[in-house]
Amino acid sequence: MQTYTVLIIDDHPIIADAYKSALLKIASENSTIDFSIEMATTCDAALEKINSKKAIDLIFLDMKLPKSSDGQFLSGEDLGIEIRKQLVDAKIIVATTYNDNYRVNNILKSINPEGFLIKNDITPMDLIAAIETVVEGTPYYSKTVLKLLRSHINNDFFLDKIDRQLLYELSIGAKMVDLPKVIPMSIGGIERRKRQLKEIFDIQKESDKVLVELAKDKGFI
Amino acid sequence: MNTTSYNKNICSNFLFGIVLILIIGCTSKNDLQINEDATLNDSIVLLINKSKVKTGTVEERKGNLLRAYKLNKGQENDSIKNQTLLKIASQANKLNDSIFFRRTNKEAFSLSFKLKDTSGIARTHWQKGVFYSKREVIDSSYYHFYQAYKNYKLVGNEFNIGRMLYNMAFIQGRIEDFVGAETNMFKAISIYKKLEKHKKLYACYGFISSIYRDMEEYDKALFYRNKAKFYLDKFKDSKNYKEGYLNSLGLIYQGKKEYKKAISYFKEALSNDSLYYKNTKRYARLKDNLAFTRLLSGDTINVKKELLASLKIRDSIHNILGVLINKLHLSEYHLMQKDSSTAFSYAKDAYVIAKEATNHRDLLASLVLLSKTDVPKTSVYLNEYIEEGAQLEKHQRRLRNKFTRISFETDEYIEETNRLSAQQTIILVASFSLLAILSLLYFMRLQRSKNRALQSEAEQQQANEEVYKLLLKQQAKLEEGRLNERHRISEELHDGVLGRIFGTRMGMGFLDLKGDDETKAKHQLYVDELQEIEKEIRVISHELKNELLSGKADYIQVVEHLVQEQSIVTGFEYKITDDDSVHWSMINDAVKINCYRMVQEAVQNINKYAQAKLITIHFSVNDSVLTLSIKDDGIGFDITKKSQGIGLKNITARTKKINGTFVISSVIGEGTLLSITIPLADTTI
Repeated sequence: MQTYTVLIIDDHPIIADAYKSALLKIASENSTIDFSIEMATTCDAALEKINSKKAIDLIFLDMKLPKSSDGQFLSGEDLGIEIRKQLVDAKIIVATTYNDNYRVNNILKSINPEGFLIKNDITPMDLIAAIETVVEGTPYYSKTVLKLLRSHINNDFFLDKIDRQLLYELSIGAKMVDLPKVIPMSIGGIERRKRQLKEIFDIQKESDKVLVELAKDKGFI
Repeated sequence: MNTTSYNKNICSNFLFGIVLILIIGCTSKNDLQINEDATLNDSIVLLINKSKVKTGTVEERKGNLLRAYKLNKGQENDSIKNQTLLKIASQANKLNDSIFFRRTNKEAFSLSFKLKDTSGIARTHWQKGVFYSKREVIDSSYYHFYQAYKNYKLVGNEFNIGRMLYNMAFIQGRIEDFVGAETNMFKAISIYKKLEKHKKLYACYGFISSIYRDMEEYDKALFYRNKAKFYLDKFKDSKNYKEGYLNSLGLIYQGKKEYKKAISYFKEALSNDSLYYKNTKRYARLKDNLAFTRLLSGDTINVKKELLASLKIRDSIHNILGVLINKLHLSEYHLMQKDSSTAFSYAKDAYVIAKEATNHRDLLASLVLLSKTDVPKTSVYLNEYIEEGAQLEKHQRRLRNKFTRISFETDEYIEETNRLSAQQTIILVASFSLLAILSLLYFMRLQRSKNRALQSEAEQQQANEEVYKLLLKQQAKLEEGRLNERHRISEELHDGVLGRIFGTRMGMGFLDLKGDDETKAKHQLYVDELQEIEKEIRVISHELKNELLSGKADYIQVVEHLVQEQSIVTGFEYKITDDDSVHWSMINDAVKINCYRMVQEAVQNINKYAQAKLITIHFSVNDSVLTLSIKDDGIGFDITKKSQGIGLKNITARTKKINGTFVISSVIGEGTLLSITIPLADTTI
């Protein structure tokens, strides 16, 4: 009989409750496994648990969280990075409603979670499967994440963080003049990057809209 | 009076012009006319020349002149007729036909006046002067010479000015106005010297010399006589004047009482054998002078015979003044011979002749002789002499005064005319300048109001553009607010609602339901349905965000609104489209405003002229160049023919302002296409 310490970080109690239900269901069906469940609905509560140096085996992490009171942690993503630092052995299952490639990609890069669930993808059965798989030590990605990874493998070219950010900002309709505020580059530099991106996608003469659509197709955003 | 005659002149000029046109109008007739004219002119000239031939009788010559006059009268009133008329008048004067002269000269004067021929006017005055001079009407003669002089001065005929001065001086000499005569003569001399008229200069100096001789200043007389001689040697037919010169020289020496010298000069003159035939009058005079000088020198031999011979010659040629002098000389001779009665009778004769000829100088001389010969009546004669002298003096003074008055009045008249014309000029200049100033003021005012209108128009335009800018900004803000709201809704759906549905779905999924299979299946169905709802909400959320990509609606909406307003007027259909390549938010306001205004102008033009049913407006961007095309299906127009209207001009001006180009093409009956291309600077993309 093995007992896993589980931390559920989600600001929606109903969702946290769902995770809890899933864990209990696993425990009830598998007599060798038991879960010690703790909850945190805010960044601050979660940080307290993390910093307590108590070993945690599994962490459910929501991406959309209100920021911490000291303003250091703006989202679940920042919290995930902190967890990786503090609790090296903890397995993280990210559950998010974001399903755009840019965000997903960023989360993969920054947290590299053992389980990556896009909330809309999964059914209760999928959730149980995901927990079981991760507990066994195998990563579990829901289908949207898998699709993204597949398209990445097919791509020949490499886009760095700034390229992705630029494409993302364009996709949400940001104006060129506003971009230097969010991307640490001059307007000229951003222009150059954009031209390079168009060359990479071989659409030199097309508009930004085409670029954004193509980048979406290729799974970059 | 001046103006009426001027009007007449205009009238005659006008008639003359018409006649000229008529003549030019019929060419075939014209040649004939010229030929006829030529022959007619020839015959007139021939007749005048005939009247000049001295072999014919005076009556014959007068007849020829009259015929010439009658032929000339039928001619056109031109300068040729006038010249001929002047010649006829001159010839009539020479023939002493005073009535005919007066008539012709008067006609010549009025014709000259009509033709504004100042030379002709001068010539008529000159001829009149000669006419009066001949008839001893000295004041009238002087007046006319003076008028001729003034008129020649107007036309600048130097030679004739000199001649008139000479004539005036000559007349002044006659009344012993020596100062005036000398002044005028020297004026004439300076002109003749310039023109190198040696013969005239000889005459002038000779005249001055004789003036000094009359004043008994013999040295000066001699000096000028020598000057005359200097010019005498210079001209061709000087031979004919040599005797005259010698005679004058002799008289000077006679006056100087150097009788021997005088006698030698008279003799030298008389040594010319042919003189008697060539100039009988002079021959007789020389003979008389020689004899009288000899008498004065005390040599009485043959003096009486010579004097009588001279008298006989002078009698034969009706040289009355010569006869008079001769008789005085004879009286003088007999007085010296103490033959008082003979002397008295000659003196009496001379007195009668002098009285008849109104020759005052000789009348006085005869009175002196009478007083000496008729001793008992000496006092009577002396009284008459004094009276005559005083009268002469008075007469001469009166004439001199009159001459002065003539020049003065003329000068005054000229001055008055000058003053009047100056006044007229001043009035003219003043009124012109006033007019100019007024029109300048008017134009300035016009210009200023134009400028003001332009300025207000420019201000209006600027205000319009500012309003439009505000409009756009407002639109942009509205759009931004709208976007923000959509963003918020999207986020809310995605993060809040979606998460909670997910949680609910999960929770429901883990519920361990106790019921029949049907209920369980239904439960699963609802859970699945929840997942579908999640998907739908996600799609909605994404779509809300996705529309953020193209914030184009705002500008096109503004343009559409404008076109829609215009479409009410003629009820055309319209289509406004833009390529996806156009990012309105990245194009600067100046370009957008100008595009907006150009669309406005174009649509207004279409409304006015094109009778279009459909207007298509399209925006596209290619290689950083924005292309705006405005097409209509109206009647079209000929681009080459029509000058640019204000609408097209405005469009041209606007495209220039934003460095664009503008092309218009039109097919009559099919419509018009305006194509405007505007380069977008890099920073505005």
